Amino acid sequence: MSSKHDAIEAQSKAMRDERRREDDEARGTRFGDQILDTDVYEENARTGYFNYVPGNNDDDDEDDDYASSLPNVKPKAYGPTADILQNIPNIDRNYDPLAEHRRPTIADRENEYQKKRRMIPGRISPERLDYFAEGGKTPDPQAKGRSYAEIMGEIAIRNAKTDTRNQLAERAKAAEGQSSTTANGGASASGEKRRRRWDQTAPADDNDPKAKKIAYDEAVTPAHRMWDATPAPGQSSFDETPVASRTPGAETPHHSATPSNKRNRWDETPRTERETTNSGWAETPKTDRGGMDDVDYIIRSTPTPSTDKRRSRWDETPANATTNGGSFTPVAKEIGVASTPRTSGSFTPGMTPIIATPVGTRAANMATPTPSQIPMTPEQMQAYRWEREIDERNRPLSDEELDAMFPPGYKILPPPASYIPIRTPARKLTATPTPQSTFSGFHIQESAHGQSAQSNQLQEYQPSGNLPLLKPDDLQYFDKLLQEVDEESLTPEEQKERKIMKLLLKIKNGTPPMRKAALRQITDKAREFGAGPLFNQILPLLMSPTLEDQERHLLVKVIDRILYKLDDLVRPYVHKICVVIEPLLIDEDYYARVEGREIISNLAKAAGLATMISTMRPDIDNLDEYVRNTTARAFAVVASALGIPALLPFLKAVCKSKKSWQARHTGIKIIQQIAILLGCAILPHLKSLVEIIEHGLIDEQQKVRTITALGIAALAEAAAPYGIESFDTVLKPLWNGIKQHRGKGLAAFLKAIGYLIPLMDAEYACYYTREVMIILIREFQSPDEEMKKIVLKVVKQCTATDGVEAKYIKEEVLPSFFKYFWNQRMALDRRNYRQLVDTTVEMANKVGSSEIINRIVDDLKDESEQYRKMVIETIEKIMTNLGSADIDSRLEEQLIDGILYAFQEQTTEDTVMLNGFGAVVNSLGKRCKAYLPQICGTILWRLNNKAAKVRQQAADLIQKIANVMKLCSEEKLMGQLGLVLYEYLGEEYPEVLGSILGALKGIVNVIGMTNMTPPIKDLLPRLTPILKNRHEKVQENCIDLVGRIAELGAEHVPAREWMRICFELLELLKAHKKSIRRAAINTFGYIAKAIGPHDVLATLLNNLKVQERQLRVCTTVAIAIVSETCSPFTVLPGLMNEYRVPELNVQNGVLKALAFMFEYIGEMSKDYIYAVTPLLEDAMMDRDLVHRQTAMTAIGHMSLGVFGFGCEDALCHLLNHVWPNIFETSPHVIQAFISAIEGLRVGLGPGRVLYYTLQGLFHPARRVRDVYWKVYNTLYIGAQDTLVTGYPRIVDDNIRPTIDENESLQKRIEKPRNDYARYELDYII
Amino acid sequence: MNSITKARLVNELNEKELQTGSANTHKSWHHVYRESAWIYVGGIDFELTEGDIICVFSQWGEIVNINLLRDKKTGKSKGFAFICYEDQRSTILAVDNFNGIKLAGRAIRVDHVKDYKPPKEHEKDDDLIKTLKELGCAPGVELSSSSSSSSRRKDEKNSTYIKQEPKRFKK
Repeated sequence: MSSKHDAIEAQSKAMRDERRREDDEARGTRFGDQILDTDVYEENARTGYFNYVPGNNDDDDEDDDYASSLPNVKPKAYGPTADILQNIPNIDRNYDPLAEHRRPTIADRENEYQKKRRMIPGRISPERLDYFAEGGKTPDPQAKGRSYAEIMGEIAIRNAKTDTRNQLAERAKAAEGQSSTTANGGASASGEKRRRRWDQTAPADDNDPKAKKIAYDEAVTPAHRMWDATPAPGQSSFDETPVASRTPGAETPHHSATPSNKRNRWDETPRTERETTNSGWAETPKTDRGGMDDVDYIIRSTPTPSTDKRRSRWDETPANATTNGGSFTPVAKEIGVASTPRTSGSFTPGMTPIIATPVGTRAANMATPTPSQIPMTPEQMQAYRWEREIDERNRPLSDEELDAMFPPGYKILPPPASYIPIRTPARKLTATPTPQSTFSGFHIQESAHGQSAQSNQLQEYQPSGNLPLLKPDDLQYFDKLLQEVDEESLTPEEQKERKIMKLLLKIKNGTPPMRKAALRQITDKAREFGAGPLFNQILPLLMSPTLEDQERHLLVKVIDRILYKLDDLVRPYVHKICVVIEPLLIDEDYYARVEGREIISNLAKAAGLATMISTMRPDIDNLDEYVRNTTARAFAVVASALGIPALLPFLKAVCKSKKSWQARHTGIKIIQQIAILLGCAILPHLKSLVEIIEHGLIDEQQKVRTITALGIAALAEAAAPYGIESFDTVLKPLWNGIKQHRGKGLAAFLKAIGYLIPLMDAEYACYYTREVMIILIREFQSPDEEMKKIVLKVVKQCTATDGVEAKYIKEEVLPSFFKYFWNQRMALDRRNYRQLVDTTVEMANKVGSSEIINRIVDDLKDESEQYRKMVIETIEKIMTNLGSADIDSRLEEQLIDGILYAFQEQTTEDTVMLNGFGAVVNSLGKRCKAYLPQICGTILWRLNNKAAKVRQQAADLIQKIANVMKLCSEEKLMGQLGLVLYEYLGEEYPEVLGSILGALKGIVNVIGMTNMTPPIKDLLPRLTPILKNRHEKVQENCIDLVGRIAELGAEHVPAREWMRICFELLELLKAHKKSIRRAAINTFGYIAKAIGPHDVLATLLNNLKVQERQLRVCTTVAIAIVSETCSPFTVLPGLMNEYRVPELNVQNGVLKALAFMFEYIGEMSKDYIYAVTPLLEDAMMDRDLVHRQTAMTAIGHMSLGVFGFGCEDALCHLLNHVWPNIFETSPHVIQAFISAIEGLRVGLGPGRVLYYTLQGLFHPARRVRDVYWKVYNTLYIGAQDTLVTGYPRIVDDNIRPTIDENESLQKRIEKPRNDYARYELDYII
Repeated sequence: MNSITKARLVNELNEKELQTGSANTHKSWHHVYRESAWIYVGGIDFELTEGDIICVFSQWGEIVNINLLRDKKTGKSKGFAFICYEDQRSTILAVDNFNGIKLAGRAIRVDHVKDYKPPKEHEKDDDLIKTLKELGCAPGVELSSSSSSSSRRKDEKNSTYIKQEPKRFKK
């Protein structure tokens, strides 16, 4: 768009120059003419200058609408002109300065396979018939939606068509071959015949030129395309692909008379059309490009300007537009530029025909064919957005803005009287509201009218009515919201649509509260809106190429919610939803997959099994592998939602399908996916699942055999270690299979065997393993990646069984294993790396560590770092598993040498090397003594390194080997290291500092407080300031170290230092990381123990006054800890005294501290219960909820502690205070109440609490009854048997003193009698 | 695992090497295959002939032998081939640059071959075929140039590929 605009600008400039020259001479209106100082300036120095002021408030009556329409032009008319832009070197107009900060869309990260779903046009299928809509009645054949039979029919037709076409192509090729045509033609023709591989662009079936040219020459009837059927009201380009069947070629009869075998009329169209330039068809060749892969074809169609992505100057010149006069084409083309030529093949059917001739369904469905309905590709969108933003920033200031900026007192001067604004046709051209200045021609009118006063152009995208801003990408979906309409005047459907649109926009782009409200609203009104309108808007949004992760998540959430509400109404839309959601199942993002599964399982629950099967059945033998793959996964989800047994009959039928191998393949794949998805839950159905697929092992199609073997492998993996008996029948075919097959098939069969072996009992496993190992060894040398992975896996499984002896592995397996697998290439691929390490470790378990380590120890000095890492990791795992007993002194030397080399040579410091080193040293233990000086030398050297990572790693290593150093009694060395580390405490990188502290901690731990160098009394003062560090790792390590010192060596440090640390610790109570807070609290305990509780307590109590809740909570915990470590009697008086402070937070803090204290001290509570009862009593009578809540928690803990110590009197007193809180409504209070009651149940016995409960159990008010029953239930759960003694005695009816025996007898007959009293219990109760 | 995944995996190896800076050194994974000048090419369009493939692949070096697998009966291409370069280093170029590209609409896969096994003798093979299988299809290299080319490859020790060095082939 902009280059066109530039061209206009350039031309207008040329015209202006010319005009100026004329005008100057004719009118003499130039100003400043006479003052040219020729001494200073050259004679013609000013010819390049403007010598007039452009303005628009002229009184020329040449045309009146000029001025009035001028505001419409504003944004695009400014900015750099074409010639300026041309002079800027290397300007890349598509460069996006914010690209790296842009959130990537989902489309960006999809691979070619996943992108497929966007290429399949019309895959959002129209509604289908709901067979259950009218209960058991036969569905009305005229009903809306297509029935199962119709769909199956369509598919049959489609398949038949493809077959015919293939046959014809083959025949044509044969004929061609006879007449010896060019290789090129032959290639493309037979390319057709083959079944497409997925990575080839699909030739869109119906415009396939090859097929058309022969069979369909006279056909003008592409009418039965499935998309034509039902474009639903919510228009989107996905609902229908309108153009393909309307390509002009099909309707230009004069070409159909050229049935040349080689060239078809499709190929020729462009040429003829160029002759008829002024017709509305001028641009049509574009339409044919959908899905054309044929090079030949594209070449011939390129000459037309519109297919060229980089537009020539041709269509940029405004002259073109003027000469074309009233012709619609250039304008339409310009709009086409607004949404720019798109790359996606299937969508190329361009806009031109739509604009020019809205015909057919599209015209019928769309009152105003809006060009913006065609999606832009993300890059174009980006470029457009960028351009727009630049224009926005560079726009001239309007009068209002200038008014706002300047202080009062300025006035607008009129231009000089002699000034004449230019009036050229070119200017006028730009002044007229051409669509070029907006996103599309359609919107500018409304938006510009309303906002000519407000100059902010972005407001165009601001729909009215408290809605979030539209992004340009959203425009195609939400453009209707930009139009101001009177809602009352709309039809109910339109109102509904608008309403949904608003809600969706809020959900997609709104702020969290806005989104939440909209989500709730759309859920509540889901049934009211109806499934159709909802899904017709949501699903196209989900297919949008510019969707981001977060947006997709939100939309999926919407679907999830409305599915619950819509329930069976969803049935006609099941396929639509499946098509959109199924791709989520193969997304690379785990959470997307989970979300997809959830939706499909909810969908299955809402729609029911029958609908799910009838909807997805047609996709099972779809010719497109992508569709079958996603369908299989979706079916597995359905099985997990509705239960495997429900699906079994269907699966059985599908897997036995004789009609197509695709169906069998998909059926078996479903079972494989079920096994993967459900895991051990398949066990009850294992037998039947295996039976269903077993015949696939001897299928004639290789693909079916392979997937069957993979399915069996998945089933066996899921069933492990049970269920071998279910696999009895497949063992033989598998066995034969691995002897017959080669390549891919063999890999799958091997995998199946590999997973079955761990299920077998030892004897069988032995036999099978021995046999299968031969094949495995043969396949070691396979270059196939998949085979390699499977072989490694199976070898691991086989070596784990008893069947293979160490000797066999040593002699037969190891040599070739190391030859073929241990190389740099395997180390580079992450998954191979893992698998190789695991397998090697498993082998080491069999043959012993030295055997394996001997083979790889030299590789520690390999050139490739990745490879060295793999070696180290293997050695680490082997040595942690098996220890070092097997390693002789020579190997030990090699090992240490190699590891030191690898450690020093590493360029990327990561944990693999570190852990490896640590594991080896720790495993060797005392045998390391000889090497320790050398190791320490390395460490010291590296501690001094310039790179922070290296220093950090060295410190980490010290921590790891500190134990071994102690073991080797190298205290002196450790002392040295300690001193060095102490020196490095000034480290500036927090990560490194953290590690250094960790290393010090390691040394202190093993060496003890008294022997530590530097002495503790020097070390601790250095640590105090470090506690202030904000970095988590530093904090954690430092507090750990301080705590350790406080615990074991507090006496080395003066009390004043400890107090100082106490103050620092208070800050740490705020830490985000729980372990830091915990360490800080524990340290409080140790310090209090060391220096006595009083000072610490004073600090802590003061801290209760602070605002921050978390800080107070942690303080209370610390108080409780202190009182636990120093006995409560040292703390309680001060604490209770603090309760007198008339401050809410403090009092609550005290109560909370009491609660924690009673929790920690347990039985000791019995000594303090009477002391604190008055305090608790007071708290229970407070008006403040939180007071009571916290007091109740304290009471709960206390009564648990005093159980059995005869404090019932106090507890009963407290219960009386607790009980009235039964009617509280705040959830926290309720929780505290219940916990208090639970505690009191234990402390007082359930009978007592039951009596309190009984009074309300049968209260007339429901809300009273509810809560009483809740209490009763907790009692019942906790002490069901004991309650028996507490139940009140209700006298039997017949015990009642009666006068007449007969009367009582009669009563007995008349009504049910109460005689539940169990007298036998009287003896024990 | 389909062929596209396999192609992607190889490209990932290269990516990783570029990141770690071990590309073009002895640390490279290509180094594992330093003794074989053969590459495997899979996913070739069935219509492409040996000549076409040589045309495309000779941009990374002189090709001395090609074995496009064909159906025994129909002679139809099976869609994969083995190619031997004159200079082993060409294989690295070919694998790095051609793996995963689209050739005639199909994504091809290119990988090293560690031990290439020449096709078995077939009773129907005439002399021409036999010699082709044995010696390759390239015009032989003059003795002087071959010595210069081997001196160029001094760093490559005991290259087994020398054995397959084509001799002048006259028929």
